[in-house]
Amino acid sequence: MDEFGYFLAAYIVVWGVIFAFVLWNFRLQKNLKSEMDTLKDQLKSRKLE
Amino acid sequence: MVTIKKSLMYGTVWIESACRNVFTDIRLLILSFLLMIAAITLICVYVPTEEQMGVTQRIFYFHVPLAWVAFLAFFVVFVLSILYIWKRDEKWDHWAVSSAEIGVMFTSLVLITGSFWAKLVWDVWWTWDFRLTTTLVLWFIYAAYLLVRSFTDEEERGARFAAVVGIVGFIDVPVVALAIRYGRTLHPDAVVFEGGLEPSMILTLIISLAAFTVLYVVLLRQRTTFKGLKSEMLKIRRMLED
Repeated sequence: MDEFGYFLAAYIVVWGVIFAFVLWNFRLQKNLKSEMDTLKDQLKSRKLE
Repeated sequence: MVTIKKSLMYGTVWIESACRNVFTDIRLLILSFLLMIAAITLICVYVPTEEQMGVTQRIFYFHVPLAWVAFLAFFVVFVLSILYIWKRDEKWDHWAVSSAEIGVMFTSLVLITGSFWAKLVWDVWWTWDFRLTTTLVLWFIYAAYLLVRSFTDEEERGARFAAVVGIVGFIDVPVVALAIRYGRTLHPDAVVFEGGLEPSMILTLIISLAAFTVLYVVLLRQRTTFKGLKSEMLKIRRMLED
């Protein structure tokens, strides 16, 4: 690998890891939102009971 | 049921405040994105190529900011761990864990980008040099900080153990920072503060540092909001089960 290859590889790793972290975080937030909706429904049904 | 209602009300207030945070985060995220674009443009187009190391030296413009922001993240863990031990308020723990997660990610990137640089300059991917070894130890300390809470069933106890690791572990940060001055190391000297850089190089470094700092703030707020909401939800769920 030449000089530019090392530079490019380092660059790709940095952005790849940061992008993966952001994506993982968004996915967790999305799951949490659906969990929250389920919980709200549960509470509503309890209230009706 | 009254407690659940109260808790849900509190949870709703939390969610509303979290939603307000998201809008601030969008503005910060855009700022971070613009700064990153500026930094990338400066790194690729504006900054001159270093004579001895060539293009590879450009790794410096994200290797150094990543390391500085990782130190900042661990300093935040240190301060918030003290606050947690003192006040026993779980919100400080949420902020500290989030900061440690980002710090570990950034330290991993520092080690990886450093390896690419080392391979070309020293012809090895890794060497047990003082600076590199203390940085690896730093990574292990904060990885342990993230893992230690899973060793105990009691959430509060785990957070307390982790806070102790977060406080004691910070000792390694000045050791890493001063390793190039006092240890035997192949790592380049701290050229930034010793006038070894051209003005264009300093400008690029500052823009890159600003970009990674704003990114750190965005990620920290996102992770902390997530942890706060998750904790509120668990509390409500436990109340419902009881």
